[in-house]
Amino acid sequence: MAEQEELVNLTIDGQPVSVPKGSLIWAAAQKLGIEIPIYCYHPKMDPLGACRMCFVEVEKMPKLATACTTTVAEGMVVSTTSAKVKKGRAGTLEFLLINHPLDCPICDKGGECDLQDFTLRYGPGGSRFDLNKRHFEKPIPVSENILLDRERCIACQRCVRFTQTVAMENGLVMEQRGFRIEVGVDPAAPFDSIFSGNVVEMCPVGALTAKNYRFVTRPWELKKTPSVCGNCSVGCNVRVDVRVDKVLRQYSRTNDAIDDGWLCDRGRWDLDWINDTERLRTPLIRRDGQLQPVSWDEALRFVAERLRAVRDQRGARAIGGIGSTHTTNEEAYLFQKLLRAGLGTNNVDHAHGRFPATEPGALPWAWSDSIAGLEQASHIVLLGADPYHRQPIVDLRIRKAIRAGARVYVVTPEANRLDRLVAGVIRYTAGHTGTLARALLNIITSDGLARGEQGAQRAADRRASVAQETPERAAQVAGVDADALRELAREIAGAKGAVILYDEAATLEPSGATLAADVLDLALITGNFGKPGAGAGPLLADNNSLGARDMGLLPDTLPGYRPVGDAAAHAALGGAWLATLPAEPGLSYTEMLSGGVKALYVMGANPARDATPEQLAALDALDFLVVQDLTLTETAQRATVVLPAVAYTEKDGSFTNTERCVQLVRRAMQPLGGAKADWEILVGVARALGLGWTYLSPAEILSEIGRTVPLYAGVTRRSLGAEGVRWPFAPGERTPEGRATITGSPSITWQMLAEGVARAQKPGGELIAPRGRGE
Amino acid sequence: MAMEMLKGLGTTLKEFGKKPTTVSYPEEKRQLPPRFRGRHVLHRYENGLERCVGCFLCAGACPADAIYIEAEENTDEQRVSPGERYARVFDVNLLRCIFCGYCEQACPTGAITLENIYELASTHPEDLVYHKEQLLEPVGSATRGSIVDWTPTPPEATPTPLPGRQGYFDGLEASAAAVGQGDMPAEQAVFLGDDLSGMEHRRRLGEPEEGE
Ligand code: SF4
Ligand code: SF4
Ligand code: SF4
Ligand code: SF4
Ligand code: FES
Repeated sequence: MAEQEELVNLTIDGQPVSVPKGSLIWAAAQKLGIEIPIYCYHPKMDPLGACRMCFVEVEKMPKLATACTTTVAEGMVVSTTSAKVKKGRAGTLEFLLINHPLDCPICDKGGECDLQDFTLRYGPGGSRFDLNKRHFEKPIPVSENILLDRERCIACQRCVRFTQTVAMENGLVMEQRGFRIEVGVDPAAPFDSIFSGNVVEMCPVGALTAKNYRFVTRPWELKKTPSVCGNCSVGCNVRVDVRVDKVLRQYSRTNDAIDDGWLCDRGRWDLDWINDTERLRTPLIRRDGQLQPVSWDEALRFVAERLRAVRDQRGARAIGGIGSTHTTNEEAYLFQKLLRAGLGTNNVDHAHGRFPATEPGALPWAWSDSIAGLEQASHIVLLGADPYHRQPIVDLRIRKAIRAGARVYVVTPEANRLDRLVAGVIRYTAGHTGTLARALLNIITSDGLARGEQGAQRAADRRASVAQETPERAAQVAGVDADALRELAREIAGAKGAVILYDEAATLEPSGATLAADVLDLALITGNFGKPGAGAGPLLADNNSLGARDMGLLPDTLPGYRPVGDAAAHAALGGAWLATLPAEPGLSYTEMLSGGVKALYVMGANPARDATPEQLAALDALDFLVVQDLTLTETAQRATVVLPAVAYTEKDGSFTNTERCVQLVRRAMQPLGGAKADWEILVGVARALGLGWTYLSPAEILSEIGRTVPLYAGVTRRSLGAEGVRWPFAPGERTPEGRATITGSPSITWQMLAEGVARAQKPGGELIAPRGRGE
Repeated sequence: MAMEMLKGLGTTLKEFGKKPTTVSYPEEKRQLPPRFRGRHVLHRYENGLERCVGCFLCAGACPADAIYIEAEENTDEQRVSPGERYARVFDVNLLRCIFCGYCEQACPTGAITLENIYELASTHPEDLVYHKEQLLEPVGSATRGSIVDWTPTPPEATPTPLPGRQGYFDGLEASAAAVGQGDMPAEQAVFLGDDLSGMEHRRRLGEPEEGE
């Protein structure tokens, strides 16, 4: 894959090390586990060489060198511990401390502050400066969420460089020079970026602090758990910081393949819903028109009784379930298993529902490439997508791709935050994303822009279906510039690698019925497929939007996208579940909400919030409505039984992000007293129904998924590791201890597409084994 | 036999006139040494502001995890301590506390000390979690507490070894810059004023001493 990199050999503190040519001394030392203190340098940004903290001594260099700007050379001999280095570092620190206030006891950074740490490790221990320190007005707001304490700033410029070069959003600038230098707000550009919180994390001192974290705790009081952000479909890797019973913040836990070390402000701070004092702490049953607290035993027995009664009187098809795009894979899996195997109905769906026109058994409409792949793309097209607001960290990666030279086209109905940075902007009337996609296909098929044999074949197949969808027609109905579309089609067709992304919401527009398939064809025909930096796919909304589908929260497919009528899948799954599964497709989300069922089981969803008046009436007309949620949502207020659930920070499990990466979520805090994780509740209901489920942990459920769902073949908590794996999986090498592993696929290829789920099934046969316990 | 009895009686007679070592508590109370470590007291400044800045350092130093703090920001309308930050909640769980005095040592402002208060008994365990209101000394009685007995020189006598005009919390200058300068005498060796320590400093930096 990667070309053989040229290695350079050097010695640091007597230890030999080889690193790629062009590496910095700092990186080489890091490889050896030798700390070189840094302030202005940040591994994700270009070196600046401003703070002089990273001094090392290099043989044959007359002066101390800065490790963050000096690249390695063959045979270099570096010392990080010589007397000269010690003196240099101590000198730098003494200067930094001249004007630094003695704020440590009340500073939010105290305890995780590089100035404290390096002063202890490399500092002089005292100061010779006995004049007055410089003082400024204490914190001044630089944005709604962030405060700046200028006394504490050591002018490393990380924050300013982040906003200018990484986020490309401006907002912060350096003002004045020399000892007067300070950080200021750009009067022309307010600092209102959704990425702003990163500067708080990367500020080496407590100069930039978060308003909502101000004085709430100190780092040593926090319990820090590696996990995954649960706010959107990007699935950034985070460290959840909890004090006693409150989540106080999420910090980044760098995963270069997904978040590149950054978080958005939503992920970092929007956690109040977890600490909400209104959260439910006890099950409720409606009696005399009022929801009244009851015990768990009673609630579970009641739910089972009523579900059984509805099934006995009206048949299994009168029961339906609406699952969640927020709960874990394990919970989604158990939910549909409860409905399918336990109650005997295929009426299972979630709010977005299936993408129309999924070919049964084919690989589903998932992003065929990865977030990291964007960096290799020559072209990125956003079709009706607004990642800045909906998948912020994908937007940040697009900005990185722009810096690497990618031509980005923003094709959206409304102004987009990326507009001023991109190669082209195309506007159209909202609701016509699908029209545009078909017009692009029309141009490509009729102008002979297909590439490759397979592309030409596919173009021939599609030509007739889009013959009427000319750009002129699109101009008429969608108010789009036809020439701009032509130019865009040409760009895509000529691209070295183009990634075409649409928002999943666009598939629900009236014109979007075939959007998913059309965009995929667009990529296939133009040869932009199957390699990093090329591909197509949706940007999904929620943290487990993809996982919910993967796990079969769909009325017509079993977990792993096997059609409910597929006899083989049926037999295998029925065998594993010890049940006879219903074969005809169930009711969809909207059908269930329009009176299709008599009893509705809602887990972690709030259909009443966006319901039409008719749907609300249908909800009220239900015989039985059970809701699992954190608070008394609009839907829960109408429920017969409400079962209090917990947030993702309070349970173990796994999420599947928008680029197919399955990642582990870890319990970071005690679950709220009285509430239970959704999987526990489902197991409780199943047991009350007499199903004899014995799951003791999400790990056990995940192992069952790994055995019974071909798409997830081989998945266990262990095999997912710290940074997750992207499906389709293939069996990997065994670990030295003989444990099975799996490898992922950064991009989906033509072949995988053709083989569909069957490919995933290959190692399958033996994977579908009878139910067993543990791994 | 009789011999033994006489011997015993002799001991009794010998001790008879002596002052007893026991005291008849509670009528009478024992005079304790000044460094006795009993219940904590939170101190104030002369002007009534609390010394505690809610820094959690005592909680961090506590080996028994006995201290629980929640901090908040001072405002001009409601000023509790001189700096930016104060402790809104300050609980000490005396059932956990092992009276080691680490909290007192850790405190940068001399806000918490262990005093001669030892009458700590209750039939309700929750009564022994002392809250801030119980620990604070009343307004108008600003004392330094046992810290004076633990530090060799009285703090007042030590010239401020630190730069800056806000050498102490005076409660008027509401600057957090004063935090950590507290009222505790700093270790002399750390702050280099005279030539001798300047040389010491150079030695530490690995520089050749003058005249070498
Ligand atoms: S505010 Fe922080 S990150 Fe920004 S220049 Fe100052 S010390 Fe560096
Ligand atoms: S981009 Fe999404 S996953 Fe990442 S931090 Fe923000 S909300 Fe969380
Ligand atoms: S005296 Fe020791 S155990 Fe007691 S609160 Fe202070 S630090 Fe903790
Ligand atoms: S160490 Fe002192 S100032 Fe800090 S919280 Fe404890 S008592 Fe308050
Ligand atoms: S880290 Fe090298 S000069 Fe700042």
